[in-house]
Amino acid sequence: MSQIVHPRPALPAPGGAALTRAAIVLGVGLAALAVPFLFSSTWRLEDPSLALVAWLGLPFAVLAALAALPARPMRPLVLAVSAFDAVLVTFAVQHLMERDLSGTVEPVAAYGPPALALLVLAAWGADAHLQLRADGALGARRSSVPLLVALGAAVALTLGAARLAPVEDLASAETFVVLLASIAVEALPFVLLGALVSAALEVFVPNGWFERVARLPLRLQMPAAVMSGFCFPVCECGSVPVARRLISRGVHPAAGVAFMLSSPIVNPIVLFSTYVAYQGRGGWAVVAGRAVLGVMAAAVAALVLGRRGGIALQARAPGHEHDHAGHDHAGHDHGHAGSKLRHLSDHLVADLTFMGKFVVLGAALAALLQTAVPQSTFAGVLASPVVGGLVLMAAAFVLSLCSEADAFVAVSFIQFPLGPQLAFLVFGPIMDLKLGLLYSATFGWRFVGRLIFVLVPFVLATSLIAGEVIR
Amino acid sequence: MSRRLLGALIVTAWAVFFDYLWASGDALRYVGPRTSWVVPFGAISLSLAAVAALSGAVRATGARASGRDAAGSLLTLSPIALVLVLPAASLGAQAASVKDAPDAARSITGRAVARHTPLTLADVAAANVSADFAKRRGVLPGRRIAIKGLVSRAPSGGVLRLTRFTSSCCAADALAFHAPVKLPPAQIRKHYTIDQWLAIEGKLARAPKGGLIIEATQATPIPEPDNPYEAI
Repeated sequence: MSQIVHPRPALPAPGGAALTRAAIVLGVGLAALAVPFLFSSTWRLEDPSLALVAWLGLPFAVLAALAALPARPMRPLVLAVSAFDAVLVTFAVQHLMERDLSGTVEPVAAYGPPALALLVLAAWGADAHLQLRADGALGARRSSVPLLVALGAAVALTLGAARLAPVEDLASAETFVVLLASIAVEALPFVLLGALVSAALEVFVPNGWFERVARLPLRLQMPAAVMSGFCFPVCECGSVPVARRLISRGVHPAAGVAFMLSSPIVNPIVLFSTYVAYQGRGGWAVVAGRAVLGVMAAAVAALVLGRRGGIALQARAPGHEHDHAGHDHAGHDHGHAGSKLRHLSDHLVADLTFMGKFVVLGAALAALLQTAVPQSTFAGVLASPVVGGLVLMAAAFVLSLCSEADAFVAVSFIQFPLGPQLAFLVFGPIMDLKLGLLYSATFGWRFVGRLIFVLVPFVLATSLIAGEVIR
Repeated sequence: MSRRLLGALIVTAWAVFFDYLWASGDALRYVGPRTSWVVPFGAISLSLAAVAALSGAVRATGARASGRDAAGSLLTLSPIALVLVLPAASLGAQAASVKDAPDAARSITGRAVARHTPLTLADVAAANVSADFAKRRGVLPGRRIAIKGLVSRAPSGGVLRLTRFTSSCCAADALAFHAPVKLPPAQIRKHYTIDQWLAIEGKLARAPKGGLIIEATQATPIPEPDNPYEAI
C-alpha cells in the first residue's frame, strides 16, 4: 500500500525573535558562570581557563542553538529544563571553587556539561515532537526527527550516567542485571528449542496425525503424553509452546497439559543432573522419587483441571496467528519445501517473541526478589516438615531456576529434610514466577490459580511421604 | 514497521547478544561451567533463526506492528539494554549479603574430595563448619593456600572477609562462600575497598575465636577473573 504523504508545514526563516531567544539563553548561561566569578575571590584567583568556562557553558550553547531554530516559541518544558540547567551549572561552578582546580578534575565538572546538554536535547526533542503532533504536522506518522533526537539523547544520558556512577551505588543494580541476564540467557535457547518443535509440529505433521491422536480416548492420550516427556530434552520454558501447539492441533487439553507439566521433570538431562547433585545423598532413590512424583503431579493436575473443558487456550496466544500474508492456511497446506521452511520460520519467530517477553518478565521479577530478599529468609526457617515443604516450594517459585540445574540448589538446603527438598524439585519445574506468566499468557490467570490450588497440597503431601520412604 | 520484521529484529538482537557472549567469553558472568554449553548452542541456533526470519521479513511484509507489539519488543530486549548499560556488572558484596545461605558451606561437606588438589575458598568455608570435611580434604592449620576472591567486608583489626561465588547453572543459583583473611603486617594500612578482587597467598591457621583463618603473606589487588565463579 502506498504511503500517504503529508505536506510538511513550511518552516519560517530565522528571524529577530529567534536570535533574541538565543541571546537570552546565552545571557542566562553567562550569568550562571559569571556570578560566582564576580563574588568569589577563590574562583578569580584560580584563574579558570577559557576552555573550562566554555566547557561549562556547553549546555547553554546547545540550548541557545535550539532556541535559534526557526521553530515555535519555547514552551514551559524547555524553559524549566533551562532553569534547571542554570542551577546545576551554578552548583558545578560552586563545587569547583571548593576544590583545587589544578588537581584532578571533578566528575561533576567533567561530565556535568555534556550530561546537561543531553538533557536539554532530550527535553527539546520531546517538546518539539509534542508540538508537531498537536499541530497535526505528523499526519499518520508516529515518529519525528525531534522524537528520535530525544530518544537518542535520553539513551546516551542513561548509558553515560550508569557508566560513570560510583560502583558501590550500583551494587544492587549490578546484582539485578546479572541475575536477570543469567536467567534469560539460560532460558531463551530452550524457549527457541520448544518453539522450533512447536513450529515443526505445525508445519510438518499432517493434520490427519493430530486427528487420529485426538480421536484416542483420554486414558490413552494421558500416559502417552506423560511418558513422552522422558524423551524430550528441554526444560520448562520449552515445553509450554509445544503443549500449546499440541492442544491447538486437537490433542486433548488435559493430555497437552500433562505433557507440559511432566516433561521438565522427567526428561533425561534433568534426571541425570538430579543424580549428579544427590550422589552420596540418596542418588538414584531421589531421582526415582522426583520422576514418580513429577509424573503423578502432572497427571493429577491435568485431569483435575481438564474436567469439563477447564483448560482453554487464550485467544491472544499465537497458536496460529502469525502473519498469513502470501499463503493459504485452508486445510493447512503449506505447499512446497521452500514455502514450508518460510512458514516454519514464521511460526518459530511468532512463538519465540510471544514467549520471550513473558520469560523476560518472569526473570525480572525473580531477579528483583533475589536482589531484595536475602536467601537466608527462606533457609533460616527451622520448622516442621510441612512448613519446611511450604517454605521450599515458595523458594522454588521465587528463584525460578531451570529444572536442569535446580537439583544443585535443592541439595544445598541441607537443614531441611529430604521431603521438603523433593517438594522443591517437583514444584519448581511446574510452577514458578516465569512459568506463571507463561501459563497465564497461554491458558489465562484462572488456570494458574487452579493449578496452584491443586499442586500445592498434592506436591506437599506426596513429597513428605516420599521423603520418609526414601530415608 | 511490519510485525514480521519486528520479530526478526528481536531474534537478531538476541542472536548478536549470544554471539557476543560466546566470542568475548563474557558468558561466564551469567552461566556456570556445567551449563556454559547453552551459550554456543543459543548463539548458533538463534543466528540461524535470525537469518531465516530476516530473509522471510525481506520477502514479505504483512501486518503492521501495533503499540502492544512494540512494548513487548522493548520488554524482550530489556536484558540486552541493561547489560549494555552495565557491561561489567558482576555479583559482589551486595549479592554476597543476599545470597548468603547460612548452610551453603555445609552443602559441600558430603562430597567426595581429592586431597591433593589446590584448596579453594569454598573448601575453607566448608572446613569451618565440618571437622570431618577438613580432615578428609586436608584443610588444616599450616597448609599453604593461594586463592582469589573479592573483599566483601572491609578490614577490621587487620582481618577482612574474602568471598567467592560458586555456580552450578547460572548466577541465579550462585552460592557465596566466605573466609576470613588476616592481612600481612606490612599491608594492614593499605586501603582495600569492598568488591576489590585480591589474590591471596599464605597459610591456614587457627583463628582466635575458633575455626580457620588465612594468614596472608601476600595480598595483591587483581582485576576480576574471566570466570568469577569458583569450581567446586
